[in-house]
Amino acid sequence: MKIRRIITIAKTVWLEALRRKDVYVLLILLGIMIVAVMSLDIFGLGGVVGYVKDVGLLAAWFFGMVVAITISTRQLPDEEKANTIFPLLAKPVTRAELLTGKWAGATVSATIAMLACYLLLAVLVKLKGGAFEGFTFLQCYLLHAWAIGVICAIGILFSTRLNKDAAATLSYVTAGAAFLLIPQIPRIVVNAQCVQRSGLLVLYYIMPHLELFDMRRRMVHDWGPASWSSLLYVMIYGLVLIGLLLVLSWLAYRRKVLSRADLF
Amino acid sequence: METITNSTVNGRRRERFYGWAAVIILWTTAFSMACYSDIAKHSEHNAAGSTIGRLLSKASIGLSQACYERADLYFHKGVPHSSKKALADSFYHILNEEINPSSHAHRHGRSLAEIMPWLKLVTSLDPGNIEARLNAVFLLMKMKEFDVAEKVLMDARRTNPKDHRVLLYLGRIYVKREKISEAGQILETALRFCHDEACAGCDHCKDTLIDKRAILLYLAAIDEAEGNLSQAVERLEAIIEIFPGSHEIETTIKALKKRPDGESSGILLEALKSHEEAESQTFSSCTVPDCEH
Repeated sequence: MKIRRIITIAKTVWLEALRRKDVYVLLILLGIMIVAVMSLDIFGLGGVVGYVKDVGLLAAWFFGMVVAITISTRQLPDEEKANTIFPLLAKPVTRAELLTGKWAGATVSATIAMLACYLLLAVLVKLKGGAFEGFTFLQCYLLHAWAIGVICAIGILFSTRLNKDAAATLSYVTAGAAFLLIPQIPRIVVNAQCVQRSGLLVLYYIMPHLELFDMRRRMVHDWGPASWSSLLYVMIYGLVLIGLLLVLSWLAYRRKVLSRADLF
Repeated sequence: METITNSTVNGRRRERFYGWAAVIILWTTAFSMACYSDIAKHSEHNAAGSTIGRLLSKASIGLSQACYERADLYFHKGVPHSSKKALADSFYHILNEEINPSSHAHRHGRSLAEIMPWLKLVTSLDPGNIEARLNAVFLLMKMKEFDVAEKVLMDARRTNPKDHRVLLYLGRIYVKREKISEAGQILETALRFCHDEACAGCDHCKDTLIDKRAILLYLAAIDEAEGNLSQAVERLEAIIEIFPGSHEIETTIKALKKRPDGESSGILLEALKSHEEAESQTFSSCTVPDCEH
């Protein structure tokens, strides 16, 4: 695998993300949503920003997921639909490089879009009279970026064998379950019967744990930064997860027959 | 050069027509919706009668409940109530505990204001939820925001004019702000609306009795401060009727009876104020067994 080729493929994804306007639309939506929330009169009290941070970060997570899935799941199906996959693979680009480049491009695009969201939120919170704690803000963004990497890898994996819409739907279901349902398993498993329990345990251990990348509680409720060692563990876990998902994507894509005839 | 034909002109006219039509339709829709929401707001009958009204009202109550739970979550600094969990020794659980703190904690001082937006949302979505308003008032009083607390209570009084709890809190605020005569009037009204006849030992009735005791205690203290000692004794004796065997009250009655009528000291009122201060301090301490505070 050559890094230069991967970067070249990633660059095309960035350019495409810039050309399409969906990121700007989401950013505007986020801004409108936060400003609407900020306009709430809280019994005339000033300097209350926790709820703005809370709603803003929740929206940033939601929009981050939407951007990551939208960008990552359309890469391969769009290339195949437009027949541009053939000249791309005719060049000395391996399928592994193509997948990695697409993943890198999607991740970086979504991460930069999220940076814009975080900066917008920080500015609005500042305008409301509050502030984010620097280190916690940095850690929160860093782990969010890692989560976006995992979501993009999920999107790429599904798009290797499915069309754009199906891949996006499955990615939403998987990411949503990983974020909302999987963390609830320890609570559900207490009352589960034998077979159910085993099934839940399997899900708990094989599904990605996106809640590990979510530091909103620390940010909103001023718990201060997490220890760098635990942050490092989570990042290593994220890297392993991304690696596994990309390997699975490669296994699914390496022998995929791409035929023009299939397209008509 | 572009040749302007009849069809081009007609096309442009059509576009202009559609543009204006869209603007008029949108404006009419917006105006109708504004009128509808205004009417719906002022007509409880409509909301209670129509299916959509009932659905919307149920949805808003459900949403307000969610906001109320959110307020509780904010009081506990984002940590949800602990429940029985398995897999406590799993890698994911341990790492999650490191990233997301889960120890039992409470907000204190000015940071209590962070709870307010959610209570505000509860009161907006469900104006009949007096409990949320009283919680907001309690927190505002803890933050010494008496003006704001009074405003909230005035709003609550508009929607629930006969709720003795609202009047009791209003009376307490007036006492705090040294508006003794207003406090006396409002607490008299609270006493009139504090019905305890149907009491059968349920929690609600017990709370009503406790509220009645508080109202009588405040009224007795105000009477004592104004030199109306015989009236104060009557109030305290009424408390003994509700809660017999209260040693402190009996002692106070004896002390008041010894004093000549018309003599005022304000000791009772001061004692009540300091008691309330202490009560507000104990609110911060936790009742959960595994609490670290």
